[in-house]
Order: sequence, then C-alpha cells, then structure tokens
Amino acid sequence: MSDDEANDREPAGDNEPAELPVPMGRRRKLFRRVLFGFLAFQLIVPLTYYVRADPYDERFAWRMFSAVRLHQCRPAASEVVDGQERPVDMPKVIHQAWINTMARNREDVIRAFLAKRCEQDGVDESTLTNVCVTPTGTRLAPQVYRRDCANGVEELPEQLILEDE
Amino acid sequence: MGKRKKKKRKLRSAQGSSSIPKETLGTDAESEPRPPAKTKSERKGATKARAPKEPKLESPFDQYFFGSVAPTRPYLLLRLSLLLLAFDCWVDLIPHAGRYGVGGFNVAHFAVLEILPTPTPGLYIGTMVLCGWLALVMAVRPARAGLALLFGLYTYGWSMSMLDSYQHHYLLSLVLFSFIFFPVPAATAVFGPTGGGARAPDADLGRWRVVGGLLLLLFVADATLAACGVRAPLDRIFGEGGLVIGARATAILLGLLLILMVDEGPKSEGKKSSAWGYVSVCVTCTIVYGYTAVTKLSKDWREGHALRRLGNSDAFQELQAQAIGDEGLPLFGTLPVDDFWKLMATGAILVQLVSAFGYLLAARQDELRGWKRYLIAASGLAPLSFHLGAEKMELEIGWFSYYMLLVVFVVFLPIEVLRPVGAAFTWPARFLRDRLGDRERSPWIFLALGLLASVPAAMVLDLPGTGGAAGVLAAVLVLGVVLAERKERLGDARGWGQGALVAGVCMWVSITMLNDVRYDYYRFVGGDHRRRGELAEALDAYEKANAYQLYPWCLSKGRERGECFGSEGAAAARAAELGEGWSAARSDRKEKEDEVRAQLERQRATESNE
Repeated sequence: MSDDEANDREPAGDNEPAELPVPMGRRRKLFRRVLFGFLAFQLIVPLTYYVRADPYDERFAWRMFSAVRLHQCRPAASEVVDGQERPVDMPKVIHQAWINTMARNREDVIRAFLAKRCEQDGVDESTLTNVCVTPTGTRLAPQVYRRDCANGVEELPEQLILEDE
Repeated sequence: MGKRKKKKRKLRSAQGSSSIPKETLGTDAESEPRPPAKTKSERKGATKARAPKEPKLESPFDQYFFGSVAPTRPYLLLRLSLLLLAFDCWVDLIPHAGRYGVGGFNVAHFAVLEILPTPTPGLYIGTMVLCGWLALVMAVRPARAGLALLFGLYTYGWSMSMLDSYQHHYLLSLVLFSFIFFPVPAATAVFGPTGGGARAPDADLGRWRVVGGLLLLLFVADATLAACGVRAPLDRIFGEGGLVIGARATAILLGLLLILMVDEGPKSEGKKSSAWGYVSVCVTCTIVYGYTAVTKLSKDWREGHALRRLGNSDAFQELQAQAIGDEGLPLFGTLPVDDFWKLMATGAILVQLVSAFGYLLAARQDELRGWKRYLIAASGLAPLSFHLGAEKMELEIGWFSYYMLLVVFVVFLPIEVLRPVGAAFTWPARFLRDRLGDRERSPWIFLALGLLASVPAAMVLDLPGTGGAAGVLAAVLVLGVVLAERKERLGDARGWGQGALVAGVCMWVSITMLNDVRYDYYRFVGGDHRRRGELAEALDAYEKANAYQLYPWCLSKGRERGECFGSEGAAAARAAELGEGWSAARSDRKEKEDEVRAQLERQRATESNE
C-alpha cells in the first residue's frame, strides 16, 4: 500500500494521535468540497436578507442589534365575529413570548396567528396591527396584517422605509 | 540528562520526516547543528524517498485550511465549548421551556419541521437534557458520530420553534458542524503523560509551567467573570475590593512568569496537526463579525441612536456621565452626549472589523514567528473588549458572550501561554490515566456506571420530558458502547461510559442543587396559566416552584434586581456590603400561590353553589 493510499483513509482508531497529517487524495478532495459548501452556505444565507421582501426577518443575517431590531412595536389584534369587530385579549389566547415575537413584525408568526384565530368558531376576519417607533423616535405608519377566514386571502402591509436617512 | 539528549534526538528525527515546513518548527530545531551537506545524488535520493509523505499544498485555499495548527487549540476549543454547552442547555435554556406549545400554537424556523408534532415543554426539555448530556459525554470522549448527533439535536432544539430566535444558537450550530471534523486525540496524546507528578520522559511541559498554567486558568477565568459583572468566586470568598483585584493581577503575573521564565525545555509546541475543522470555526467567526460590522454601517447605528437605546445599563450610564462631565474620556476629553454615543457606535464597528480580520489571521498564527504572531494575538483584544462590553451592557443574549470569550482565549493566546493552561486543565484526567493505566477493564462496567448515574439523574428531575430523555440517552449509550465494542474501540466504549457517569452527576447537581432551574421553569409556567385564567394548573406550578426554590432571598434597589441567596443572613450581609439603597427581601411565588389558591377556592365554591 502506498503512503498516499495510507493517508487517504481516516486516521487512527481508538486513540487518535495529536499530530494529524495533511489529508491527501480523495479525502482532501472530499474535505475541500465540504468546506466550499459550508463556506458558501455561510456567506450566501446572510445575503438573502438583502433580497428578501420582509426586512423584519433578520434571522441568519448576523444583524444583531440592528436599527430594525430596535424598533419598538405595539401589536393589537382584533377579529370580526358575526359582522362585529372585537379586540382579542392576546395574553389570554397565546403565550406572551409569541406576542413579543409579533411585536417585532415577524411576518411568519403573525400570519400563523391570524390563521389560528380563523380556526375559532364564527370568526370571519382576523387582523393584527403593529404600531412601531424607530430608535430615533420616528413613528412609522401602522403595519396592518389581515386574513379573510372564508377564503384564506391575506392582506400584508406595504414595505416600509425602515431607517431614518 | 541522558533522557533529555535522547528526547532531542527523537525530536530532530521526527522533524526531519515531518510534513510541517521547517520554518514552522520550534526554536530548538533552529539551534540544532545542521547536518553535513549532501551530494546532489543523495539529496535527490532523499527527496525521492520522502516524496510520497510530503503533502503538497499548492493552492492558497489548501494552505490556509489544511496547514498546521498547534493541537492544543482544537483540543481545548472542542472540550471547553462542549462543557459550556452542556451547562447552557441545562441551566439557561430549560427554564424557558414552558412557553412551547401553549394553545397548540407554534411556528418552526423551517417549514419542513412543521410536519413534526407541535413542540411541547416535554419535547423541548427532553431535547435540552439530551443535548447537555451528549455534549458532556463528547467533551470527555469525542467521536464523530456523537458530535454529528449533537449537531442534529441542538439544531433541532432551536429550530423547532421561532420562540428561540437567538442568532447565537444558529452560530453554535455552525460551530458544532465544524466540531464533527475536529481532530479528537486524547489529552495524553496532546499534552503528554503527567508521569505521576514527576516530569515524564515524553512530556514536554515541566511542572512549574503547569503550575503557571493553573494560575492563569483559575485567575483569568475569575477576572473575566468579574469583568462581565458577575460576582466571581474570589469576590464571594474575600469580598469585592482593591485587595482582590491586586491578588488576581499578582496571580496572573506569577502564572505568566512561571510559564515564560522558568527554563523547562522548549516553550513552543513542537506538535503540529492539520485541523481544518478548527480553521473553519475561525472563518465562521470572521464571517459573523464581518456581517455584523456591515450591518452597523446604517445611519441609525453610526449616529449612536441604536446603541443609546441598548446602553442603559449602570456601567454605560456611568461612562456617559464621565464623558459629558468635567472629567471627560481619556484621549477624547469632555464630549457632548450625542458625540459620545457616536464615538461608541463607531468604535463598535471598528472593533468588529478588527475582530473579523483577527480571526482570519489567527487561524494560521501557529505557522508564523516573531512579531507577526504577537500582533495577531494582540488583535484578540478587539473581540475580548467587545464581549466584555456586551456583558456590561446587560444585554439579553444568554451565554453568548461566554462562548465568544472562550473562543477568543483559545484562538488568540500565544501557544506558549495556552499550552500550559491546557496542560493544567487536563492534568487530573491525564494523572488518572497514568495512575490507572490502560488496564483492559471491561467497557460494560463503565456502561453500567454511566447508566446508573445518568438514567436516575434524568428521571428524578421532576420536569416534563425527562423520563423520555432518560430512555433515549440510555439507548444512545448502550448502542454506542455495543458498536464500539464490536469494532474493538474499547477506549471509546470505556470513555463514553465514564462520560455518562460524569454527565449524569453534573446534570443532577447543576439542575437540582446549584441553580434555580426548576423554580424558574415552574414560576414561568404558573404565571402563564394565571394570565390565561387556568387556576388549577397555575396553582400546581406555583406549588412546585416554591418547593424547588434554592435561593429565595434576593437583593433589590428600587426596580433593579440583584443576586439571590439561600439564607436571609447571607443576603442581608451582602446588602450591607453593597450599601447605597440595596436591601434583601424574600422573593418567591408564595403570595402568588396563596392568591391563586384563594381564587380557585372561590371559583370552586361558586361552581358548587350553582
């Protein structure tokens, strides 16, 4: 067996040595591919934030404590039952942690919440409104999310200019 | 003396056949006399004979990722991170499990996870118990399959629900993925045997350097905790003050002197290893800091508005008062308040950019020599200051700063300092191995011990999901040991049994004896049920919370909450020590429990009357 072939295998069994040689041959090719894929993934995923429609969804974008994250929003839910609009006492129907998440305008959560409310008997339409203030104190236009329970049609807010420039 | 000469010869011979370039070798190699010049044909022959062993790293990519690293770094990064992760899962994450599945509502991070059952407190706690347990077993005896399982479990743990939106949990998943490809040598392979206290023939660290490493390990950890605003062990024992600060500084200085001044052989690590998993962690850090810096280039951040909203902790208020007062800031003098926050915000961007480049270069620092190496090590001050500052700001970011501080120390410290620290950290394990030897004990004994410690420890936690977790961890352990035994990897089989023994004890002690994990879990659950008018469930949760509380006496100053203590006397003494309006009072859920009980009785009475 050549040295190249020997080095082409997983080193060590029960007790791996402290000094591992540079991987050779097919192993190095495989590791290189894993690395390329892993690095490309890490570079591309945060970039997707900048082409996404939802500026509030900052997951995986390494935007810790961004100005968007520091918007302070106050969510309020309401629903139409038998033609009458009534407010929803949110802490009674959902955990406070989800309310906090919706206060960050997390669209996926808000849409799931509205869909959940539509499962209640007699609910024709559910709405969530977020009123947000930027870190400089600028009050943004209310973000209104609405779902028609009969046909599942959703009305989402217009995209906002989020930062004071 | 004879031994030392023999060792030098061995080292030279090893270096001669090493795949590591000569310029990366330690100083001892340079001081050795050069062998007599060879004829052209001899050189050719030698090259031909060695050629297959010489790795050819022609592309910069290969040179960067597959080049050599001191084995101490990946060893310590893997073990210490897994230790931290184990306690993070048990102590910091479990208390928040009560919010999962309330009202049957959940949104997972990835749509594909929606096909799985809706997460519940039991599922979340079970996953976290298992993650912590596996992390500790892998810290004791890492194996690629176990590390891959841990990566999967942990990633499922945060991605099952958007309730967990901490970005650093995603970062930890990336790091855990890299860990799968880390070298996993035993401590004795990296640091050598202890020789039962005396210097062993092939140990390249003398005892005084290990003592220096121990001093650094203990006192740098203590100083870091103190700098983060946590009451560090020395503060607890001797009280806060100049004396303790002086003692810390003296011990750290003494440790450095022992490491750098005592002549006990070569100071740099002779061993070098190809560790691309480790390099990829450094690159991950570069990407994270790089993107974070770019994010902060927005006007809101540069003007300091965002940081101002974040920096409302005491420490930052004091700094602001100093900056705008007569005293001013060193170098900058007195500043208007807006300029102060602008300066801080710009500083944060700069620090993150330096951190990004620092990590990129630090991955390769073991191949450099002289001032370049120390310059790279010095760039570690940027992430160090950033994360200490983040802790001072009292941001709600879990244990993120502690992970990143750990990474800073392991990646940036010069190897001649880090290696003795690692030797001190691993000394007990290596000593035990030296004393007990590699005796062929049956792995089944360790399996039995591991099961005996882990299964009952998980069962008695009295938290939802822990029974299921106990079953799964037992199955994982038995399966792992059986497979390892079949493949004659007896060391792995024994190591996992030993790891399970340690993990079981640590889990039980950390959850039930040292931290208010169960109290926090049940009080949160009680509060949520009470808000939704579910009084019987709220009462049940409050009763458990009060029964499990370990530290009911807490300090407070106005609306500010302080540390909690097990006894009134200790809390009062600490309040007196702090002065300035601090007081000690019982802080439990007794009142809430009584209130909910009374409401429930009234409700039941009304129902029975009707």
